[in-house]
Amino acid sequence: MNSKKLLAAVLLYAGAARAHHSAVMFDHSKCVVISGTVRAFRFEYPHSWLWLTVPDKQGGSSTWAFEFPAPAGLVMSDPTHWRSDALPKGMKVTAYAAPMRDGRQGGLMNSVVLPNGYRMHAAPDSVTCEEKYYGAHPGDEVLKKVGAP
Amino acid sequence: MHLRMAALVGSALITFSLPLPLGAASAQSSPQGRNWAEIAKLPDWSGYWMITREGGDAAGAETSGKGVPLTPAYAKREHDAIASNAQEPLTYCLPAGPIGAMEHGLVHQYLFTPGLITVIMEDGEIRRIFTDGRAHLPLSQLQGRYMGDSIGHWEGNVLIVDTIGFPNGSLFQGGGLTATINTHLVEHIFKNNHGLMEIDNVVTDPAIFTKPWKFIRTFQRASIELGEPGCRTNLRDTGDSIDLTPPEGS
Repeated sequence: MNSKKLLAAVLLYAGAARAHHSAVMFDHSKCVVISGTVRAFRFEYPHSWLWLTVPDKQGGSSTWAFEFPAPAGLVMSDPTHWRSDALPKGMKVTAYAAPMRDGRQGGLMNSVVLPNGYRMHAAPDSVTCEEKYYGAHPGDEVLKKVGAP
Repeated sequence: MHLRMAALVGSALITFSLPLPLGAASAQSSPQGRNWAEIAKLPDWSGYWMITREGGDAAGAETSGKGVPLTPAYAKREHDAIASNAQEPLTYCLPAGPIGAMEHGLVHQYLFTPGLITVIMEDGEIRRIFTDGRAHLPLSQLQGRYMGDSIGHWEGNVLIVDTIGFPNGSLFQGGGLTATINTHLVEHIFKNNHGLMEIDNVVTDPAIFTKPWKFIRTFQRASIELGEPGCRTNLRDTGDSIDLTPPEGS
């Protein structure tokens, strides 16, 4: 997998990629799928962020954090849906992301699916991360699912 | 030749070597925005501008020094910087300067007041383009600058901006390279036939480039507001460390 192309497609502004920094802390060969409840969403420069409260099998919960591009990058991807109130606290969503390399509960967002099934992409190309990361190399990695479906 | 004089002469030569955009007219017959009556005759650049999906022409869309006519010394510097995962100044919320800010595609806004165009960037940087007819400051007064000294004049609907003295401004993505005190930037800024804000750039610096670096960047009106300049307060990811802590009170 060409990690530079992934950087351009996932973290950064479209077409002409505009990195705020490199994204070597994320494992771009993997895709995690995390379902949870929105704890907080920040639509802001230099990066937007989403925190989800995710249930575990023991009846408890933990928090996952996901990084997005700045608002201009998100609006370029989906000008209709990306807004500062797009992901209100309490909304149940499913996040698709490249996970942190260090194992912490965080990732670089590829897309987020709303309760009505609509998928908001973090980058203008419409390829989902599970297709992007596994379509070309099926079976290379195990798709990790956390939280309620 | 005095550096300041060299910059101005170089600007004139480069300006004449570029095809004039549509709407260009002579400076003598154009309102220069030095009073409110003249400002009323200038083109409407209101609103917020964000980078287009294409980013500009192929050279303008490039995000590293690849394809840029770098001298061997700077090509090596860029190679070494990328190899060491060097970060952009913006990574730490430092200013990017006139080339780096537009290269990054920062959302920005133009404000016209008599003799001055102020460009407000989403990261909080402010660029002042003087249109009051003044000359450049001497380079000796511009050491350590990020945005440098920008002098503009109108030729019809085209704003031509001559900038010197931005040695701390970044050049392009991925290398962490900055300009030098002798880097010279000339921009033709205008709304093109597609309604986009087009910036035709020519950058010269004998230490960095083997020939003038020419590229175009394009911007579209943004559907979002220019946010508060909260780069430092919002900064959670510095490229080599990430704070995943949820916001207080969430």
